[in-house]
Amino acid sequence: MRKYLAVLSTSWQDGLTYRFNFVMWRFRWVLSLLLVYFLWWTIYSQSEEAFFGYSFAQMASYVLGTSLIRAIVFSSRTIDVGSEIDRGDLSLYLVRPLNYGLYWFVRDIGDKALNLFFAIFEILFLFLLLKPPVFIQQDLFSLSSFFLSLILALVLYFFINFFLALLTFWTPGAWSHRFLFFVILEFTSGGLFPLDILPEGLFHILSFLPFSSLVYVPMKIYLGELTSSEVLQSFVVQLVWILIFYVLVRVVWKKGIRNYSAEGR
Amino acid sequence: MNIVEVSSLSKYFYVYKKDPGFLGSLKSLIHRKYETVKAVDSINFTIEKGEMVGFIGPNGAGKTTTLKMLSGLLYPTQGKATVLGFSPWERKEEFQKQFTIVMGQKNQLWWDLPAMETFLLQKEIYEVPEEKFSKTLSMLVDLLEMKQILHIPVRRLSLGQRMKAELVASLLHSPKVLFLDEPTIGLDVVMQRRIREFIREYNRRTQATVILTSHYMEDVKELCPRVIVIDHGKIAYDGALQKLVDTYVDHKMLNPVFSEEVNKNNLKKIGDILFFEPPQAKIRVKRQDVSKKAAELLSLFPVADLTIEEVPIEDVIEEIFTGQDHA
Repeated sequence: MRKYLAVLSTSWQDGLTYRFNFVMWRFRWVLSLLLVYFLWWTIYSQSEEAFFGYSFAQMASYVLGTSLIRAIVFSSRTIDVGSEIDRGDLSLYLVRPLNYGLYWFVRDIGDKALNLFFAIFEILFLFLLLKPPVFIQQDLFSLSSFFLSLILALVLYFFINFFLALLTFWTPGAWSHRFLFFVILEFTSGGLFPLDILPEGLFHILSFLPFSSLVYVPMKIYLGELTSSEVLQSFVVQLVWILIFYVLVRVVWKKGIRNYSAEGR
Repeated sequence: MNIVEVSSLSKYFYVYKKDPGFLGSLKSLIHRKYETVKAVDSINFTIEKGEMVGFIGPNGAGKTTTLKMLSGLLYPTQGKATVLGFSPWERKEEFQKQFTIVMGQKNQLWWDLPAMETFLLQKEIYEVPEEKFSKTLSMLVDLLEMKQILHIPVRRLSLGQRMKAELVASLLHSPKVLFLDEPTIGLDVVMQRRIREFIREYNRRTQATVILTSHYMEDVKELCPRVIVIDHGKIAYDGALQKLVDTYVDHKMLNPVFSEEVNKNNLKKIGDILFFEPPQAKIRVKRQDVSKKAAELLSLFPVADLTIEEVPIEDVIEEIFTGQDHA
């Protein structure tokens, strides 16, 4: 496993090479956080009523919480996998005693850890600045379920992305399916708004798709709004989807690698 | 002991063909025509330990495809190959730790970090023990004289410096087999020579087996006693480079420099005059007649200087590929 620790360390060094770029990246995140916060703040300041059954405190907790979850779950470098296959740079990994999937997973984890580390400071700062009325969960069951759900979410997200990237074996240069995926993801993961404000039928369908378990479900668990049997059920949904995408990745990799033409001028 | 064994190895590609123009693009959206290209077509050869073999052939002849199969990057359509006793495309770790492929047009170095970081990562990936790592590294760095560039971000290095770093990164695990695909591409003459000398010295020191492809005949001539000529996916020649020249070339060049004026017509009885610009000339003679004709030239003409020259290997190869008669 030492080799993957080395990958982690090199990846961090790489990420921190350009200070300006890194600072800007973090700034962008803080800015988007402020944006959603003030958007909802403006909406709620028009009237004292609750919207969609959410009070301002609940909505603020949701949007700020999901921002953090998104930063953890959705930060991924697997975008590069597709172009590495496309350009033939995959060859450089295939000849080395290295597991390509694990390599990228480790790099993803590294990225997430780095982002999380800075996000914690930024959130503390925003807290002191805005003093938003957010909900702090203190129940141990909810907290530990939340962390487990979060971990499963990021593993699932990795496998979905890796699977999509591997399709490049057959569709060189294709970006369209990934773009479509990101659009669907934004809407269906609960990253923009709580999914339960949607019509019940639609919400029901979404809760069995893999996307809702990436952001919406962990958030709901944190807020303590799911019963323990619902929590258990959500773990099962996540695990089943992880298994499905794991198998897909294995199959697609095995076939794709035979189809791979190791291109490259 | 055979390090590389290849028997009836083939690789076919299915490439899609498109009629020219926009209409052709529309047509190909609906109905695609595919064509089979035999990139490598049933080749056989074996390579022994410590050998340095050059693959030569025109672009698209199948050299790189063969190397990619031997490195396990491509699955063959048919046939068998073993390297160090392994089937390359099974990509076993024991195999991968014993060979390397250097692709002159690919970059494995971390672009934004100094080369040293890539080296340290390679050390972990190949699980090279600390002591061996520092010994190998210092040997390679000394041979390539690149100590001063180890800690400069790769993006700031020149092409030649980067190639040196690529070589080091590829050799840190002391591979027994080296596949070098165009290792000197894009480099200037001085740097090409450097890299060549390095490869030769590395082979001498470590007894590593080397297969090299290059567009620069100089690389092959300097490094590889044996060449395998590949054309249209088939092996056109496999053997000593010198013998290739002997077989295909039945003449040599006499290049005299005259001390006095000479009559061009008189010179014709020596051989074909390819070039005549007093005081210099270039005369083609039959290989078996070389010493006789040279003696004749020296005794009948006022020769100040005379060199006898082989036909340049580039010309020989070109003749083979273009299928001209071996005049």
